[in-house]
Amino acid sequence: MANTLALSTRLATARLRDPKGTGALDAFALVAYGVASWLAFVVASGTWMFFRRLEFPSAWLAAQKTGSATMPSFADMFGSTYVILALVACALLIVPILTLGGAAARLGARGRARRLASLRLIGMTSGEIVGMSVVESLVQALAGIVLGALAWVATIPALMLLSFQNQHIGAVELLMPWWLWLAVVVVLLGLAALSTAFGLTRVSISPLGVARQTTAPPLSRSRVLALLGAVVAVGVLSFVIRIPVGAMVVGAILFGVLALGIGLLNLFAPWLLQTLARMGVVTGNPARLIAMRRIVADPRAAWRNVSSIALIGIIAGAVAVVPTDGSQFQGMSEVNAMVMLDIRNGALLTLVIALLVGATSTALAQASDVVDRSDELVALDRMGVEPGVDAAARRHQVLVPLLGTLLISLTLGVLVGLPALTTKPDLFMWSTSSGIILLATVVAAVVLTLLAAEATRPLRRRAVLQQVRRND
Amino acid sequence: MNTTSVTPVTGTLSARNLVKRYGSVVALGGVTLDLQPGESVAIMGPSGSGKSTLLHCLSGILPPDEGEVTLGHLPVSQLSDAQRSRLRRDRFGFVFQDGQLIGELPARENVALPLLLDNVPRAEALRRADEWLARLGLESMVGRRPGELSGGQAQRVAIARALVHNPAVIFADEPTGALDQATGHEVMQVLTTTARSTGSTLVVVTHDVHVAHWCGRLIEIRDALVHSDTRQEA
Repeated sequence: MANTLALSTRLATARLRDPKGTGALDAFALVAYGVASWLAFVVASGTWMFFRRLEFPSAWLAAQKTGSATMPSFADMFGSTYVILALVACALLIVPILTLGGAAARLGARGRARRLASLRLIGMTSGEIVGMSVVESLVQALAGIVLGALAWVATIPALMLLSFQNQHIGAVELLMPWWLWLAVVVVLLGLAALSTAFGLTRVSISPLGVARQTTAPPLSRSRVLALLGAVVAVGVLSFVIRIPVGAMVVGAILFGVLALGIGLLNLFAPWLLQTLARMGVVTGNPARLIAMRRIVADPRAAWRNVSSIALIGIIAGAVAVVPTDGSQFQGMSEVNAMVMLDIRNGALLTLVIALLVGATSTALAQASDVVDRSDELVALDRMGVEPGVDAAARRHQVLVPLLGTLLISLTLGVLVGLPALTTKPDLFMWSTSSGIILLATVVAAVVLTLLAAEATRPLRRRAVLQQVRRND
Repeated sequence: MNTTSVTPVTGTLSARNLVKRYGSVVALGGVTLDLQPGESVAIMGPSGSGKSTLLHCLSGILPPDEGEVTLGHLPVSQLSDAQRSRLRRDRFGFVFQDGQLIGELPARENVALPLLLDNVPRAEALRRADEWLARLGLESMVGRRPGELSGGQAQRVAIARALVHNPAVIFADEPTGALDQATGHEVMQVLTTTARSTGSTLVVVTHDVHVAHWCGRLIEIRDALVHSDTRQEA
């Protein structure tokens, strides 16, 4: 074991010096673990804050001191709703955050598998290889968690500017108990270890090299039927819950429909992307051709690249029915106006976090892809293909899935918001600001994704311009 | 077939006193040679002799530190990086050791890629790619991706890609390095025959004497210099 650890250290040092940029992947992985940990801490501490406020309502009710007769009953009426909404946001964000952590663990998997094959050749067992890789990932993840925790501490002043339940967030409220800290750290480390081990078992590492990748079978059309069935179910649900129900039930329904929407999106979107890309391959544009063929070859990977963005679409679609303009609160009771304001703020915060996760995921996937394809990039460069062709191919590769995904997810998001719209028409409404939110979300998602894809340009240049002397 | 019609892109590929250094290591120490149009030339030498560096300088992949490379009257080594890229795309073809095909593209689109980059309409590019693949005995493989081809088949696809735009010069860097001997001979036969039929100059870098015997001229590089330059019967 000591030898394995020593070898891990030496290999990590060698990677940092590798001109192909595999060392840069370690830095990318560290940043990704850092971002994932930071956001995990923000989400966990935010949710914890609402739990505290539910548990100790007097502390924040004392701050209300408005003299309003409605306020004393506020905790009974809405305290649990806030916790439910916080848990919904938590559930929405936890999947993409964990996906981001998983992507960090899979960074440069193909290249790493090739290198590990040579270790198998000199006699290391498969178990030792997996163990060594898991240790490497755990070290990276741990460093990322430390960075994430520091970033979280640095973010606290900004979080304190936010206000929920008519009260600014207090630093003390965000302090999680030790067991919650431990739980977040354990989940993040466990995810890093599992993703690494799982990623390596998917690429068979034999002493003679990595098993040749075969063409994946096309995705089944039954995925469409599943989606259609679910849309009908949601429609029926919207009709059924027109009967008056409490906030708890509305929250639970929202949670269920959101979970269903995300599950269905994961099922349907890869099929749709593959179908769209198949149509797109009939082109004379080389960049578009390469991009569409990459999507056809691995639609699940294309989907993974943008799946976090899909979440944004769902949230934005659902949020669109929440009043966002202060003037729209006029006429509402004080309590309702406050709840609406909080829902808007919470949803926008969730949107911002999801956008950050999405952009980081895209940058990570693209960086990994650049390093994995460095030999191909060098070959294309030698053939005289301008770097712009690969850059354009990458733009197509992320933009087509992105726009397709936003289209589906925004539609699903609006569908998700429908039950709320129909059950509480006095609270939820469609307005011009709804359209503005949707448009701003699309623009922000596109710009951030393009920037994330462009962030790998130096890595591409480094891969192509490496001036190493071959053993000629 | 249209694939046999040769675009008039001839000209002697010349190197004059080429010097290339990697830090303190001198990879080329003043190499001078002329490669005539339609010639097939094997560049041999022990590991570290400078043969791949010579190929990279001749093809404009690397600019020499000293000396010059010309194709006909075109001063290759004085062109900008973008101009050299354009030259490689339009006038040269490349066959690499392990094919270096794009994994997601089927064989016909891999072959058509250089034409598409030159704005040849898709239908025409695919037609010419199919013709080349058929000519190399791969008509039943046009829809297969590189991962579904054997090493020899993949290398033949790479040869078709190198030839599809009728290049003046084909550069092959250890084209049989990843193949068994029988498949390597088959690939060299295809490469030399098709290059001869199109009138392209063929430059093969190899350390395998059996591969070198397929070429009409053998240049041996030792210690960064031309050690010998002999004609032979291919």
